[in-house]
Amino acid sequence: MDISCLHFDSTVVHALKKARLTDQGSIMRLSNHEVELMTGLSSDEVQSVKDAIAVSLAPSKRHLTALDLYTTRDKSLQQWKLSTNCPRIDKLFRGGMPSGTISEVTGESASGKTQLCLQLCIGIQKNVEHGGGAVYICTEDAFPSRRLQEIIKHNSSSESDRKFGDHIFVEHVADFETLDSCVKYKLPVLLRQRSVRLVVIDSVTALFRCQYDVSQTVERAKHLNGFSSLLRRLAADHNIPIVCVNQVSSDMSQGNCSNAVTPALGLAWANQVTCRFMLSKPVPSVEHFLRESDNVRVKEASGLRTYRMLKVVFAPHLPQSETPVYIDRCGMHGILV
Amino acid sequence: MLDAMLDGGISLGKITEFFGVPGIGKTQICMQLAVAAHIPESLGGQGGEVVYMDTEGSFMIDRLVDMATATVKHFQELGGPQGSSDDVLQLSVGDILSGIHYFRCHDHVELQATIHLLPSFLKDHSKVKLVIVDSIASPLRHSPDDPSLRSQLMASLAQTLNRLASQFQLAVVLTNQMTTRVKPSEGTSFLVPALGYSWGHACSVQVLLHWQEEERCALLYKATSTPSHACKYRIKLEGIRDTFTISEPVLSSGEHDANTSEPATSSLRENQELTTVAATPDDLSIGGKMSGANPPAKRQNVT
Repeated sequence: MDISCLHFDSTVVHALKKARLTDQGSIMRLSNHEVELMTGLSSDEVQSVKDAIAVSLAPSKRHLTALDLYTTRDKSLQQWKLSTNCPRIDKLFRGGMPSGTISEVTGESASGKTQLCLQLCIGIQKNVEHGGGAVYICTEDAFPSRRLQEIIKHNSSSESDRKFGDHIFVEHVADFETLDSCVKYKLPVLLRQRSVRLVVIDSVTALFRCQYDVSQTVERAKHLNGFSSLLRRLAADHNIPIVCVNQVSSDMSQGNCSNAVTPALGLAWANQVTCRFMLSKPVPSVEHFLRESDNVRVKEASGLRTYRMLKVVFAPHLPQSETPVYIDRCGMHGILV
Repeated sequence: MLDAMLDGGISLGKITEFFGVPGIGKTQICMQLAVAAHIPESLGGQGGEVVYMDTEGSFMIDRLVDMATATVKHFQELGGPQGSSDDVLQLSVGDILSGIHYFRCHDHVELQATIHLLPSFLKDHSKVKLVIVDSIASPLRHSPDDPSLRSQLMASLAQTLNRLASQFQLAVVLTNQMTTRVKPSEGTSFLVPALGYSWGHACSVQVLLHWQEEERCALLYKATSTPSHACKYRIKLEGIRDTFTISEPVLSSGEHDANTSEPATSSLRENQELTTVAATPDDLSIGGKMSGANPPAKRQNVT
C-alpha cells in the first residue's frame, strides 16, 4: 500500500519519498533508527508515521475480549458449527465443523468422504441461523448428483426441503489455473452475493499430487501454502467453514507392509488445517464398541450393514475419539452416542 | 510436570516458544496459559490479563470456556472447605474471559501492525501479563516471498516482542510449526521447527512437543536456566494435565509426591504455570522446589 492515502505532513511525505519509502509495509519492516537514518526525520516524526501506518494496517475491527466473543449476538463474529445432519456425529464433533477455519476430511478411497461432504451440504441448508447455500468444487470425479438427490429425497420432510439441490453450486475443476481462479475470483463473488455459507473442495489432493512430481516438493509446499492461506482468508472473512477432502498415502515410516495410512500432502498441508477428521474403510465388526446393556445398539449393529470408523485426528475443540458410522440411503449416521 | 520442566512456569520478561506437529496441543497450551494467567496472586498465579493473537483461526471459544470453568471449579473446591479467601470467590469464568483480549491477524502485515500498536494498548491495560501469538509461523511462512524481506520482518518482530517482554515485564508465548527438511546427501528427512535457524535465537525458551508412541511428550529444547529434560502430558477436558507415569527421574522427590497423590494436586500445579521464575534467587537454585513457588500450603490442603 502506498503512503499517500495517509495524511502526513508534506515535509514528512517529501522526506519519505526522497528515501524511496513509499510503501507502508516496507516502512513497518524497518526499525525506527533505520528510517531516521534514511529520511533524516526526527525520531518523534518517525514514530508518529509508524503509528499511523500501523493503525491503518491493523485489522479494522476493534479488539475483543473472549467474553465478547462468547456472548456476542453479532453473526459475523459468532463462532458457529456446521451440522453434519446426523445428531450422533454432531455430538462427537460438539456441534459440527467450526466456522472460520479449514476442516479436513481424509480417508482411503471408498471410505465415505464424499458422502460426509454431501451431507454437510444438506446440513448447511438446514441451519436456520447461519445457513445458506454451498459451493462444491470437484477435482476428482463428476459431482455425484444422483446420490445427492437420493439423500435429499430421504431427508426431506416438507416441500421446501426438496429444493436443497438448488442451493448447491457445483464447479468442476481439472487443473490449477481453474482452481486458483475459482478460489480467487469466483468464490468471493459467490460468497458475497448468493449467501453461500459453505465451501467444499473434493479433493485438494488430486491436483497437488499429480501436477507435481517428487522432486518438486518445495514448490508444492509453497503453492499449497499460498492456496491454503487464500482459503483461510475466505473462511475467516466470511465466517464460514471450508471443508477439504484429502486422500491418504501409505505410511512408510513403520518400515513394514501393514495397512497403515497417513493423510496425503504431508506437513505442509497439515499445518494449514485446523481440524482433521479421518474415515476408514469398512470394518468387519463393531461389536466391541457396543456395550451389552444397550439393546438398541446391538440390534442396530447386528444388521447386514458395513461400518466405517470416523475418527477425530485433531481439532482444537475436540478430544481424539472415534465412532463407527454406517451409510445408508439417507446418508451417513453414527451409531454410538 | 510441564511446570517443573519449565522451572516453575513461563518466565516473565522472556519469549517462550512451543513448537510441534499439528494436533499435538500447541493451541491447547496457549489457551491453558491464557486461563492460568488469571489465577490471582494469592493462589500463586499472576492475576493478569492476556493478549491473544490468533493467526490461524484455531481459537475455539467453547474450548476456552471449558478450561476456564474447570479452573474456576477447581479453585472453588480447593478454597471452599476452609473458608476461602476472597480472591477465589472473585474469580469467575466471566472475569477470565473478559480479561483475554483477542486479536485475529490474517497475515504478516496485520500481525506486525498489531504488535506495533501493542505498547500503547499495554499502557491502557496495565494488567496484561501474557502475550500469546498462535502461531507466529503461519503468517510468516506464506509471505513475503522475498527471503531477505522475510528475515528482515522476522528480525523486527522478534526485536519488538523482546522489547515488549522486558519493558512491560510480561511473558510472551509463541507457537511455531514444524517443517520437513530433507538432507539430499543422505536422502533422509527429519522435522525441524519452521522459520529457520535464525528464528531460534529470538526465543529464550523453546519447548518441543511431540508424540512418543501414543503419548504426548514435551521436551525442553532450549532454556537458559534449566537443564534440558522431557515430560509427558495429556489433554483432558479441563486442559493440559500430567500423565502419572514419570518419564524423568531427574525431578526431585517433591515432584514424585505430588504426582502420586490426588489428581487435583497435579492440576493445581499445572494451573500455576505462570509463576515467575527469575524473581527470587532462591527459586533458581533447586529445580524441584520450583513449581511449588507458593502453593505448598495449598497442596497439603488437597491431599
